[in-house]
Amino acid sequence: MWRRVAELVADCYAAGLARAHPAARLIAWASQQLLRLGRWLTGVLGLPFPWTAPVLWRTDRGEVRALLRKPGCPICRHVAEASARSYFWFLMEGYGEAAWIDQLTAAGGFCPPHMWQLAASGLAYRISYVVQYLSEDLVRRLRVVETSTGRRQRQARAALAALVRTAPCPLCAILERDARHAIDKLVGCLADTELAALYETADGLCWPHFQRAIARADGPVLRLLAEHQLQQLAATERALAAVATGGAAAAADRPSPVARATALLSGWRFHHRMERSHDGEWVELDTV
Amino acid sequence: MTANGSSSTPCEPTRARAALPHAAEGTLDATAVLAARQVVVVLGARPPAAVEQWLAARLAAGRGATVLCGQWSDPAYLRGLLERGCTVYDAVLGEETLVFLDGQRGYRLPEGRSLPRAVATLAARLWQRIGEYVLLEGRVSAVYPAQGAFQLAEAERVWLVVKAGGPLPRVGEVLRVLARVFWGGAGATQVFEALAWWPATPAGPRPPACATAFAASPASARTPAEAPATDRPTGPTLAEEARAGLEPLIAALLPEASTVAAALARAGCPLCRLVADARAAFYTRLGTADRAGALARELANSAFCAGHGWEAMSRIPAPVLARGLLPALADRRARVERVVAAVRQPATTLSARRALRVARAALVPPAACPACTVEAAVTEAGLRQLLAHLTPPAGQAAYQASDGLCVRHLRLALARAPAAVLRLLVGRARVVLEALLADIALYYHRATWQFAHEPKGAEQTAWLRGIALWAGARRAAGARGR
Repeated sequence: MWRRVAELVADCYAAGLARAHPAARLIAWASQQLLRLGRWLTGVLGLPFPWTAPVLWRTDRGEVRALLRKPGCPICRHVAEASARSYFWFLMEGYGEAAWIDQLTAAGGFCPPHMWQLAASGLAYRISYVVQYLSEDLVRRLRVVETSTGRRQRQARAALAALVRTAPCPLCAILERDARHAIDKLVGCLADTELAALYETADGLCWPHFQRAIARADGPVLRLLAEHQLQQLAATERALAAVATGGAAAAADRPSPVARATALLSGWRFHHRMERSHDGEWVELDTV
Repeated sequence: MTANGSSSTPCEPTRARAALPHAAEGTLDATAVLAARQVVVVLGARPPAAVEQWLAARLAAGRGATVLCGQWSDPAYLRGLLERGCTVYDAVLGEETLVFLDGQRGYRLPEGRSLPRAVATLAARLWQRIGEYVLLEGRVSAVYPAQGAFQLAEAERVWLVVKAGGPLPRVGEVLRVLARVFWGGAGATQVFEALAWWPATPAGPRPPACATAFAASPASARTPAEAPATDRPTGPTLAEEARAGLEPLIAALLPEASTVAAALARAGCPLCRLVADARAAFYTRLGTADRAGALARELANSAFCAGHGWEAMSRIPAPVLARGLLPALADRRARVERVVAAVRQPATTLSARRALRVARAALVPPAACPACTVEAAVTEAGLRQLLAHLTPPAGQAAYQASDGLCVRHLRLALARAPAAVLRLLVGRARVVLEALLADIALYYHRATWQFAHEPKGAEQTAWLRGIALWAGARRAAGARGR
């Protein structure tokens, strides 16, 4: 019974974290700092510190399990899902919200690939609004530069600097944060024997995410990640060698060896299978 | 008409014979051809020199003509016709050569006899049209040896297919291509048959309208069958690439002043165009340079980023890319083997922890994505050339007439532009943005129920133009990869 209560409390806490509740974030930060301090102190004194083992939340385990059961790098898939979700909510309501407008005007819109992905939704009415407020802001800034040029050097320089300087793409920042969080979650959950066994049957991580996971992993998880990656690399190399010599035939249900090698080295790519194209809602992702 | 041996020039109709020997008096002559509202020429063979001269005089006066080609279709001759404003169709025709004036009168050449049922004959000939000849000019942006096709940067949706087994042009060549399109295709992408091509410069002078006859110099034309199969791309040799890595390749892709000026004369952001062209040339060259292992060498020390990795997969032939990726995989495997060896040691010793730290640090490849490196170098060089090009008044006028830079490249340019160019860039950008805002306002106006009945126009695509303005050309943006 106590265990169930503890799990319930832990899940409430995880949900609070997921919603970025300030109290939950403060608790998480404080607990991390305390654990870090305790670990450092015990390391200096040469004493064991058993509380560094991460607590595995049921929701996290469920998420990681779901990701590992699908083809492709689990982090790439998570980022692709987060990307699709972000587009959906942005086009549903975010495009007109003040917070998004502020972020987008500061960043000068999304980065080019994300901007064109946004255009792929075809939702002209909503995208026109985004283009409208971005353009209005830029016209205002250009007018400031035009009027200040030739009058006061300092004012002109300041106006120009404000025009040239931009913040990073907000969607890139969100996805980067999501990827970091997902890698932490995956590395933590691989301490679970069931998930570790599942990972051994999965496609494993792509090289960029493997590098980041290795930097965070330790002990058995590090060994699992490295050995599994080695297997994947060796298998892909064998298949690719057959293609390079011209004697390969890819199975219809699996990616070709070249696609597999590209995915392993550069990251997996997913196509969004749309359920309703008019509002950009997606149902699931297909590997390329 | 020099090509058939006549010494007279097409600009001198008065020196030509007044009429063909068998033609009725005042019927088929220079005046009749020049004065006719409509002239249709059916080419079963090359027409007499006099008729060519009358036709040339008509075209020089700015009056068009329609030409139907059958079995006889000399590429150089067709090029001459198209350059002078003729509309040239491909048709299923016999060997008769005919001329029709105003759709009413017809004459059989070379004797110039009048046709008895000219209207019906013309209608029948027009019904036999199956396609059209076009003259495309531009830089070869991609070559697809497996498909026997290539593309021009200026015609992104057009695939130019050569005859089976015929050699292809080189990437980066600026060509004038005589192509044939068959009607009946659907979709935005069109497949043309490339019949012949000639070297051309994007901003170079065109031959004067009457300097030669319709036929261009046959020696300068390169049909797919005649083009040398062992042509090698210009720039560094493969051996040089193998020795020096990416630097010579990047140096060969950097835009020159003339390239920047030509990009400015075309639609869209000139820097986006330069970047997209350079990237396409980069992939093609990597595919070619694979014989010397340049691709393999580059990828062993670096890796394509997600977007460029998948783009490379679609641009570089699979066996070539496979050979290029093999050393990269072997390199990564060696790095991971070091991690595995380190992690298998008991973690209680200091040396084991140090080995693990070193193996972890070695997982990061030393070099960045090669395609990103090329893009950055081309953007930098293109920007420098563009700013230099915009300093003189002629360059400023050219920029005013262009679409201007996209916002992303505009910010880069503003950070480096001198005062005079800065005013130009800012002014042009403001004009473009205000026009876009006016279009968006009109789009919303017509999207309301009250004004929905108003006819729709260019404002319906304002959102896409806005995306292109803010994000640059789609070709230059690439793919995120996931």
